[in-house]
Amino acid sequence: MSETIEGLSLSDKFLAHYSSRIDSLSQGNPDFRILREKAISAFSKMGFPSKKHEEYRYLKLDAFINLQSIFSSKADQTTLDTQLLNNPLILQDAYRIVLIDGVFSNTLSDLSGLPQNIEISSLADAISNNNSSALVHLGTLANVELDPFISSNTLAFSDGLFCNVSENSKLEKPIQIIHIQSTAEYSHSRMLFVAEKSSKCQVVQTFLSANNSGAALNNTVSEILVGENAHIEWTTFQAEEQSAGLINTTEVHIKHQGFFKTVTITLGANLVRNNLNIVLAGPNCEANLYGYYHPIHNQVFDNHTLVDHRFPRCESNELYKGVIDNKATAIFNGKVYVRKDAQKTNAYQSNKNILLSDEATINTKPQLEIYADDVKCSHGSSTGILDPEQVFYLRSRGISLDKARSLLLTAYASEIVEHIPHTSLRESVAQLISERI
Amino acid sequence: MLSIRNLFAGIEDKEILKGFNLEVKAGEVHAIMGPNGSGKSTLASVLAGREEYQVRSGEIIFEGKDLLEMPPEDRAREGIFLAFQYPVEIPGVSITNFLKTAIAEQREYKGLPPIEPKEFLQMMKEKKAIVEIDTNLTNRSVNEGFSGGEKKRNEIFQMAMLDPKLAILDETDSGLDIDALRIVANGVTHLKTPNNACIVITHYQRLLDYIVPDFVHVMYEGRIVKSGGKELALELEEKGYDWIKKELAI
Repeated sequence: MSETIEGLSLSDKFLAHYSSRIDSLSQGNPDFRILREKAISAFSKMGFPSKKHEEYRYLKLDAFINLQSIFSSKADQTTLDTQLLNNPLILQDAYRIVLIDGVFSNTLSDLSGLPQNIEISSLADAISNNNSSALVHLGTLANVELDPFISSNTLAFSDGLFCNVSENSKLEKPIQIIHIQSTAEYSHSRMLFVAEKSSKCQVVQTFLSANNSGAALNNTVSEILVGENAHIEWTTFQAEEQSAGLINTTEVHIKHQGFFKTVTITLGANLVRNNLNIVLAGPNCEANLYGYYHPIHNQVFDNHTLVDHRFPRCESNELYKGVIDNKATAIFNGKVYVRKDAQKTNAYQSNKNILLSDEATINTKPQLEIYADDVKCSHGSSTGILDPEQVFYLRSRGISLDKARSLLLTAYASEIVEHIPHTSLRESVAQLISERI
Repeated sequence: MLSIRNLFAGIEDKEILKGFNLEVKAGEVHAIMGPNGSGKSTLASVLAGREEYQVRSGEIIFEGKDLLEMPPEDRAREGIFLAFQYPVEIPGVSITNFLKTAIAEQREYKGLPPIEPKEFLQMMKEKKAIVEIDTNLTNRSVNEGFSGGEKKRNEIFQMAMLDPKLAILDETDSGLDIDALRIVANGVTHLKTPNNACIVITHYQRLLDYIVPDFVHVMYEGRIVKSGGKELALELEEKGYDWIKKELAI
């Protein structure tokens, strides 16, 4: 941001604000203080990204990051309309965690029946209670040096979620994390999710916002550690109000023989940036990444993914599909690295897009860098329009133009939606997509 | 039922139908034959409402209504059915879901209540028997990975389900072996009633051994140049299209 007021840039003001509060923000914990200091130092070199920032060049962040928004006060949780939770996207049979503007809500979360071997709490509580797993892992996956939103989140967050699934535990019910943006400010939400050796669970995270939240920006950073032989399915559904913004960074490390599958469905908010970075940090592990994005009006949805093969005999499959309508914009930037030691890697990446209007835009950039010689890799990208022959065929049987388009797009999306592991959520998502035409 | 008068139509700058006339009454089967490029498939496309074709002049009246004013879906809802020469594959849309949607929309247009699921399933079962389609096929995506014969049988199956007033079969016999041809033709014959009509567009006479036409029309350069009874098809088969050209001195 280039605007300067009283000689200080917005980034400087933001830094000064949090630097002066570092004692209270560190909760008296020396390790945590070191992490905050590192983040402050990193952010002071980067600042908020401007349009010249290569990685954020397509995003207009000024509306969200400004003097009014950046010094957030904690939202008043009592005024929140709890009707938000009466939503078909909310699973009934799940352990429910509600984060309001990044703050763990004890009243709206429902962890009844949670087995002993699963630890779920407010992240602030975990830190102040000196939880060893939380303190050991926090900040180890999300590198503050690499991204201004990781560093600004790390220096500023006040709370979030800590979850630790202990060794060999298999969770029967899914965990649903509901992020609610309630006020028009720049809020920071932090999550640390540790799945220990041979554990298994499903997580659904749902991003919602209160309908009066205006130009709110939620900067979420999640660190997910998939332990040896652990099995995690991670579904993200983004359905915030059209005025909201979301920067959602997910850093995943998968250890030896671990399995991680993620489905990201983006329909809501005015601006969404997903940074999904997956490190295959041990041999014989598997990562599956699926995404569906469908911006309409003037929405801008940006998916940046990175799959980093560092060890041999791992597999990654990535399929992202988009439908872009009206004057909306989508960005897909997918990197796959296959490092020198990652022999016998199978890595597949594909990005497909349908443009529904002459004014819709897609910027797609699949990238593959291979330094090993014994690998099977492919990547590709395609962009087209709805097949007029298919549309005509359906219409010639008495199906209206709108319904024909809706049927075809639902079928197109189903290749992603079918990967959502929960039937009720899958049906709700399919319904929302079919109504988008 | 259908009245086409002095129709001029084409695609882009190319005029293909040049003064085409045809009258079809309920209960009739009309065969339209003609050499490649005579405009047979253009006629089918114009009737079904393919948007890339432009009608320059003339009219098409179907059951007293101006067909050219209607979008393709309304033509279907009024009772026009086109069996495609090249049915398109639609991955991800099952035949069952597709037909359920089509029937729901057609019934809504006609002011009829939605079909009961049980009734729909019963109807599927009955109509599948007509074209010897097995159940697995209808659970699959529309035409995806179907053989040529399966695609054409699926067209006639849809025709049976939608029960049109006027069916237009666009070279439904092309690419069929003799068994598939028999199944398809028997299906069409089975669906024939005194209240509906059929236009069979074909290049060859062999389909007309099974679907016996009341009238045979020969199309050449965008219009009908000769009409007759079913014997005209046999004569054409024997003498070839050059005979017509010579006879008419064109």
